Amino acid sequence: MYGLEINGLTVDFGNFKLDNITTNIRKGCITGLIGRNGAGKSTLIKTIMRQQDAAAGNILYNGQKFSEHEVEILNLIACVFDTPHFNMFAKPKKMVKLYKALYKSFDMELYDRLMKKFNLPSDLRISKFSFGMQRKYCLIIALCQRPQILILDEPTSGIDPFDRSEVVGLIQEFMMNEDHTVLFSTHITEDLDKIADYIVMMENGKITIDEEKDTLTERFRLVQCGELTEQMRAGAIGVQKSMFGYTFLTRDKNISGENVKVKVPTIEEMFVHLLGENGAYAGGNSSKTDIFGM
Amino acid sequence: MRGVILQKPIFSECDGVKTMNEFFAYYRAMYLGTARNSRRGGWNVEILLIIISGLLVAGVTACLNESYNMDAAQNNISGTMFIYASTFVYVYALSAGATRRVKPSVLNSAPISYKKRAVYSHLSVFISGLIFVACWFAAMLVFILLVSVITLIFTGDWTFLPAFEESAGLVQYPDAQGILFIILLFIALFGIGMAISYIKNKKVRYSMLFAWPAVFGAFALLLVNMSADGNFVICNNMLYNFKNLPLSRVWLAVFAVIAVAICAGSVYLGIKTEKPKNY
Repeated sequence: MYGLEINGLTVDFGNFKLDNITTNIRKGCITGLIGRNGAGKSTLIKTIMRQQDAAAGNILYNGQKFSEHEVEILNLIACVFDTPHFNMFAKPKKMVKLYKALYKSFDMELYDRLMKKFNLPSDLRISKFSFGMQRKYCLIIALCQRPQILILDEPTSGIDPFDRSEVVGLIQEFMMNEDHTVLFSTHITEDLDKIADYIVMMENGKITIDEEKDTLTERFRLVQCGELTEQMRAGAIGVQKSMFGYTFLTRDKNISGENVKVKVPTIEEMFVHLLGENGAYAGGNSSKTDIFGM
Repeated sequence: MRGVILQKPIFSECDGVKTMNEFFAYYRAMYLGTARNSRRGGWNVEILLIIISGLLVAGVTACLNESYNMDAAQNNISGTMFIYASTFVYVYALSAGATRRVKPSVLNSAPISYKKRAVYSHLSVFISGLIFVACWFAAMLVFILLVSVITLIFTGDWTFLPAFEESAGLVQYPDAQGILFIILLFIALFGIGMAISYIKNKKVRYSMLFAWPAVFGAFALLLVNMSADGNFVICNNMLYNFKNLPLSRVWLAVFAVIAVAICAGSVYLGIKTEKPKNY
């Protein structure tokens, strides 16, 4: 069963459109959502969270339709938006009272434990927290709602590696329950390399890649070479030239040669070469057949 | 009694208390929890703004009366016009600030049914409006007291008391019929205001709701005016018009039905707007 089933979702702003988005966010898995700025990731998340209405399509939450099970679904889904969505001038001790009253399943024990673990003060205005502390507090509030589906929009952006590792640790702890689902939108692909099971990539309001992470990265090789031969050029994706030579993606796993380094690419390397100037999705080309050769 | 099985009441105290807690959390979240771009959140700041602006309006009006040395009729007209003009500016400024897009709030994601949201929103704005009016009155009273104390210190003349003496002809209180009419007018204006909010701002659910306490404040300003000799008077000329209204009970009943119907219509519109789209 899927945590989220998104079918033919379309949101039209006139100058930008989320176009016929269809994907399944699998239960028990962490799905990474990547794409350039303006690709439509936040719009998709807002539409899932009902902050934004869709013009067409439908979304099922644990197999249920929102219009028929509104309160149950709002209970089982929690989101950490890219910016804190509560009053920054409030103190945590006031905010938690609000959440306790609004969310019947709010876990105070977990809240106290996490606040203590991350050493977050209850008596200090949230605006006085550091950026990393704010992100952690947002995640704590979301986790204490005891959701089954957790949606994260750039939860680790702008925070230092130590805080980032703590946030990622919290997400991994959340995923110890196989009934839980995480959709994780981020530009920091290192986090996805560590914890993501599936990758969904968006470009210009469309989904271009929707694949298991390991399978995806195994499809390609990242090649670094001093000279670009004709054989290499034929299958090269997203060629980048630097003073040290050339770097590109290729489906050809048998490339070798002198001064040629070949390795399995990271998500970031795939992202850069697929979406870069000479990439498969350069210029808004969203054809899947180009890169998978199917 | 022994042997009698007590049936669970239809509205158990537990459910009622939970609903009350949920509503008050909703109310607090709407005015405290919603992130807004334009100013620090919270009804306490809004009320402070209202009190300050009320004092400024009253103070400037008093100065105008003194400066221009107008006669009674002109005093009242100029003072009234100034109050209305400044109220309009204030309401517009508050509305303009409030209609800026709010960030996703605690409330949008809270597990509350759409019908409850509409009802809670209406109740929250209504309560805020009442608080607004009460604060405005309080501000005016404080100002009057302050002016009177200062006047007493410097001139030995206590001007506060005459402002409330109906026998001196400075105050005209409305009768019961008039008060009922005012309350119904208040309710009708509230309903119209909320309906306009929902029609105009379907996407931005909560931003307009902050503007309507200001509308109630404008209503409160109907109750305040300046008398000919510069005293602040409550329930002066405007409310005098609500005394001895030529309204029969039938007309009042019709108006009551219309006011309640407007509010009910607004709640219905709110429920319709809040209903989640079928996707």
